[in-house]
Amino acid sequence: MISIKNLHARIEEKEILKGLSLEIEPGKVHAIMGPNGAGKSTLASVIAGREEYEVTEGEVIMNGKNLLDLEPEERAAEGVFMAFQYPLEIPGVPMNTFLRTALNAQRKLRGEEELDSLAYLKKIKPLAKTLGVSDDMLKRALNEGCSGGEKKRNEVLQMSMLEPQFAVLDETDSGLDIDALRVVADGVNALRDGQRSFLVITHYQRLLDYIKPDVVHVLAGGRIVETGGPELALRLEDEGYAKFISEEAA
Amino acid sequence: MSTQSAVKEVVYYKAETAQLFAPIIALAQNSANDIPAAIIDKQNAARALFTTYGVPYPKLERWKYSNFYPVLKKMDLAPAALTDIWRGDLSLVKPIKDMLAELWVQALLTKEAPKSDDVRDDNAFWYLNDIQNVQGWVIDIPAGANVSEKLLLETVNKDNTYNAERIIIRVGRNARLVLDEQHNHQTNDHRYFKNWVTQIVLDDNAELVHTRMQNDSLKAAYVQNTSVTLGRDARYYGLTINKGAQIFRNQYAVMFEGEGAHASIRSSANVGHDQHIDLTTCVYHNVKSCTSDQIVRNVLHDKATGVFQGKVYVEKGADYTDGSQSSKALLLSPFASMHAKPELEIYADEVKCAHGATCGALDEKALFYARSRGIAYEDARAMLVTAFLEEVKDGLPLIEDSE
Repeated sequence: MISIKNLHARIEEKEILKGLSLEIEPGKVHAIMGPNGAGKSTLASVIAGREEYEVTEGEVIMNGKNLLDLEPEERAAEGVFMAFQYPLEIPGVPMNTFLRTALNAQRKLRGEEELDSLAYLKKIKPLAKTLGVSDDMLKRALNEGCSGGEKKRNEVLQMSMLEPQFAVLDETDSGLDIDALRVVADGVNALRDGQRSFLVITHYQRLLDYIKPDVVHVLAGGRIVETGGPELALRLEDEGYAKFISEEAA
Repeated sequence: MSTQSAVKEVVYYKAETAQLFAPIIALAQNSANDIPAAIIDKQNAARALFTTYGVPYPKLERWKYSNFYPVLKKMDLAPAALTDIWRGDLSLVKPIKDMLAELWVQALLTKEAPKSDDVRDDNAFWYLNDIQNVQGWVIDIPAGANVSEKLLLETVNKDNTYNAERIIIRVGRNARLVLDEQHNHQTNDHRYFKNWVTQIVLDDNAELVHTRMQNDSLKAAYVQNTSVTLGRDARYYGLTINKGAQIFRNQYAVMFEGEGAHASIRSSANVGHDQHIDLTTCVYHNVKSCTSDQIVRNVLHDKATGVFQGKVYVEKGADYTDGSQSSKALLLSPFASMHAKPELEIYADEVKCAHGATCGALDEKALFYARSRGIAYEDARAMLVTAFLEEVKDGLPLIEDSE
């Protein structure tokens, strides 16, 4: 169970999250939708631990620990994974090196044995194949010279390898054509195992055709303003966010 | 009161700085018996020139950022015998003194020091080396030879020593050599000055892979003058990895003499303290269809300074030249500094030349990305720094890790 309680966060002087609360049960997929500027990416960044955001109030509890007290790498070892909206290019560091380092760093923090390169390769080969990530890509500098779709596939591959307990997908659908979207969604769906929880942040309903959510929230003005089932997403697609923006302004 | 203010004369040289080397120069008199007259003449001329110019003074454009005098002044230098240890096929390495009858060796020893574009800059350290130009080694690789085992030079200097050394390398037509220099030290408080000249001649289609691990004492001064001439389709790959030295000047003069040749000059530094690492180059594209690249990656901690003065000169008619320069520095301390001055001087019409220089801190976003995957802050930093430094090896043939 992940519970976010009364979360307030700001960047510089601007308060963006204004008392956001949310509970995600094990194995569930929660979607967060909302207009631009509502605070969707801020929520993802705060959960992952980006330092530009200052949390002024509230907590994010997972496994009985407040994630906000932990360094980003400790959160990762605890089982948090964020798929970036704009995955970074890491010049000179091959995907294989990066991912194996990350995997072993997490295992070490958890007191588990590190994977040698053979065990690592055995683990990544079938996953990479399913996601259409070639051997050549694994040997190339991470995300360097990759298209938007390739970067997102790399994100899902990392997630599949790191096997988080709680995955946050920050606008993973942005910049994807329909075929790439399907590959990425299949990768995510393959990870749904009844235990792992997901928070899928998106502006568009389209992604939710492929990753079926259990619960849909509307985020506007830094708060959850409405919660419902998958039908809520469809309604938003028809009605747009205007209602929530005007409510916020009123 | 006079209204006329005196016109200040710019001092480009301070002859008195040559005094630092007076005892060394006095001891360097060679007996004329076993040395050809032309070389003795050269040494005498060099002695006169160095005594006139002294240590290069920062008023010279190309010595603006790198001042050796304050460092050398603190040293109490005595001449040192060579301490080099060679590994590999030792039959390829001969003392210069045994090779003086060879006309091509004589020609190189009496050759004029390469000049930079600053007409006043007379390459005084080369003259200083010329005075003892028979101290060193000749490596002569016959045409067609592919030396499979790399030639390894290990050198360590003692405290308070001055070491002038000359290395002459000729790689014959279609031949190939890998030369790896390891410059080590005993302890980091040893003061010494190395003033080396390396002359490289690559015949048609010859290849030299030339790596240098510069791990000198943190109180050492080192000047490395290297000239490279390349025949048709010849290839020079030079890589220097800098860790040590208080002040190091790595100076290259590259001359293309045949079409289709290629030269790479690469340098990385991961230095701190008050270290000063300077790469100064001049690549002369005198003929058509040659390519050159210069890649510099400096990671500067503490009060370290990096200097890159890179020049590509494209002669009229040297069409289809491709010359590039790229200098990037990571400044990891508010007191670190980098001076980058890439220059292009182009007189030909059909050329492709590019230069770029950047300075900055580590990419915080990339750091966060790595941390969000579970890699601890210090490890993420080290990973990014290593990857940054590794860029100097891009496209180089068969460079194994020297560590």
